[in-house]
Amino acid sequence: MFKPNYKSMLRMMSVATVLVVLALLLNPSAPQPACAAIACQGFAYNFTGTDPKSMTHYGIKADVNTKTPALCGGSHSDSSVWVMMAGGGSGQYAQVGYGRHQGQSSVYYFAQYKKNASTAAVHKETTVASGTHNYNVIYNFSNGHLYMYVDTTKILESNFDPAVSWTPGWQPQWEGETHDPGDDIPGSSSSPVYFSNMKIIATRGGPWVTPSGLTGSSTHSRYGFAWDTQNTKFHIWTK
Amino acid sequence: MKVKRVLMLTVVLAVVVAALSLVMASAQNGEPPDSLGLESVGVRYGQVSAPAALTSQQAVELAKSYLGQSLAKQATQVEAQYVLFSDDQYYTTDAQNQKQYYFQNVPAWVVTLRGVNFAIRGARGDSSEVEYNHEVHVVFNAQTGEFMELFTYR
Repeated sequence: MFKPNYKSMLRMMSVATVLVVLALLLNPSAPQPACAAIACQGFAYNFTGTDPKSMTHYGIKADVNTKTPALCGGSHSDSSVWVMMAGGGSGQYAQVGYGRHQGQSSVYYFAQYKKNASTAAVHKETTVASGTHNYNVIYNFSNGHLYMYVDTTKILESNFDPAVSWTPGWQPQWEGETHDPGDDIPGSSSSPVYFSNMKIIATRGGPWVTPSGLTGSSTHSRYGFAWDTQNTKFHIWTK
Repeated sequence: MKVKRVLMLTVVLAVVVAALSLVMASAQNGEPPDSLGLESVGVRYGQVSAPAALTSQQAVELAKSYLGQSLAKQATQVEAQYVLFSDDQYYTTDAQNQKQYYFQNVPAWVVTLRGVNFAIRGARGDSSEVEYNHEVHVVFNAQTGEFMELFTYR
């Protein structure tokens, strides 16, 4: 008659468990869990990406892959990645990217612009973001407006001419942004968000060129920044 | 006696004035979006003739769900407007350089939530303080209930 040997069964099960755990740990293609946001700390803007640097430009772009960040759950919680043309004065910018604010379970494409510190921001968000896309803001010389695109889809257009309204010292910016240090930046160390094919239009009517002299950093220790190729490609993540 | 009557009259007058200013304030808040604001996002409203499959209450619930409870519960005023919705800035350009618009004359519910703190994203290195818009418009297809877009300009 068959007599089960419980001791050896237990031993085999333990060995199998160890093997499964090892396989999961060593398999790089296994899905990585999303970083868990920590408790909310209060509303504060934080960034990880290129440092502000003035340079003449009439367009900015980059290819960016999509990751959905965890939020800490405050009513102000928000996490986004974007490219931006910013004026030299406060509250002067036009940006396009994707992001998630409190209440949303996914990231959505968005574009936003602001003429100056005394005008309200104009913001639009459209569909759920996925995949890798080229985000670009371009100065249209025909009407003097800024056009904000995801690939060839135009999301928004400024209702003013920044050449007239903005302070000189424009800055191209490529960033990840959160509204609470408890919110995650999209991307993890093993699966970061990449900004690649970074370009600007440096002259009137000129071609897309690689910017020069860029540096990068994070404004908070929870977020990482690293160049893959300086001025061309970097990645960001939540530590 | 006379003093009492004057006092009473003053109190009644004060109440009437307070009530009137409250009504005026709420009427001001309840104004439909101004054309300049809509223009800033490329949006136009037309008059719709066909009935909507989605009720205004369903549209409001969808909008609140999209924004999330923590933001939606801040709203001091919520209204739904049934319109023929167009967004002249939202399009893709095809190989023939023709604009292919996503939304032109689509029967839609535009749900407006006022009094919310919708946090604004901004530039790095900008010293400006935390900033909010307080009026958000969430648009849904009135036939299918599908989310179309969100916009805010004040």
